[in-house]
Amino acid sequence: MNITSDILRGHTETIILKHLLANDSYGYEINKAIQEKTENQYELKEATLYSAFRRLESAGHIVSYWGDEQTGARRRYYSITNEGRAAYDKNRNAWEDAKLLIDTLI
Amino acid sequence: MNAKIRTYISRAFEDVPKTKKSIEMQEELITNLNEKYDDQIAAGKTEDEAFTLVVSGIGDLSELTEGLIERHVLSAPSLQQRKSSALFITIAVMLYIMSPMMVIIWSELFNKEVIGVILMFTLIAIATGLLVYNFNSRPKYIKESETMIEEFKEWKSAKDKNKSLFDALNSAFMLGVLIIYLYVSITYGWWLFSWIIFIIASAIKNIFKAIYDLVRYSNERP
Repeated sequence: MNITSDILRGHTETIILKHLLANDSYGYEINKAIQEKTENQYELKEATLYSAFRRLESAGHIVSYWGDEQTGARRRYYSITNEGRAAYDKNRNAWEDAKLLIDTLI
Repeated sequence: MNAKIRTYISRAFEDVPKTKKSIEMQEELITNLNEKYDDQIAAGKTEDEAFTLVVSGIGDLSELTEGLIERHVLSAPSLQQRKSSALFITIAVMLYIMSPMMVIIWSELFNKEVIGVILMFTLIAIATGLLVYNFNSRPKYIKESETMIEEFKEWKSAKDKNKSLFDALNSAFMLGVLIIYLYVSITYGWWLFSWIIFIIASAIKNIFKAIYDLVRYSNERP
């Protein structure tokens, strides 16, 4: 499990970008989606998730805005930018290449 | 809303400067963690179980807080900036000193006072322009971080700059008034009542200052 989470952690930003491709979202929703997709095998630590948001934001790959929830606390939503889409495509291609290489090597 | 989660996060952010960024970061974390907590309760966990689960999922928050503590470098005016600033001020002072000479030279040598006066005011205008440019082009106080103290320093630095700009304009204005006073008095011999120009000048100055303050005040508070 350790190797798996190490590899996954390296792709945190791409995982977030992938989720935001479909629609704007917020921290917990993204993490919940990750849990559901992996059938509870993987979940990001909040510290990892939110520092990834900050990095993506300062790189201009995502932008954030506060929601206007009528009840309860406000949520901070994230939205992918065109730069973010480009970064996602690039990262995805890089991952495809890496997958092929690793398959031949291991 | 679970108060324990709020307390936990506030503790973790204790050493972080209270900037807009860090406060929003905390708010975001608290909202999302509470939602997770509520889901756990809804799934049948006890409050303690849910809290433990939420907290253990947070991970190492120093990853986040360190990014907020990071400071930007304070930029001081470079040697070149200081040199050009000194040059501007020197030229401006020189122009001020030379300006009355224009009147003397033109009236004594060519008997054309009007040209002398026009040249004098042109020189004063150029000199004042240089001073104004110099004060405005000087680098402002650059934020080190967005704390209240930094905001106060920035506000104070803006205030000081306004003050030196005001002083420069004021001295130029009063010098101009003095020259008009001397010129008019000497040429026409109105010594008896020409001193009133100083009272008028100070009234004009105060009116301008009042208008300026008013405009700025209404700009600051829309």
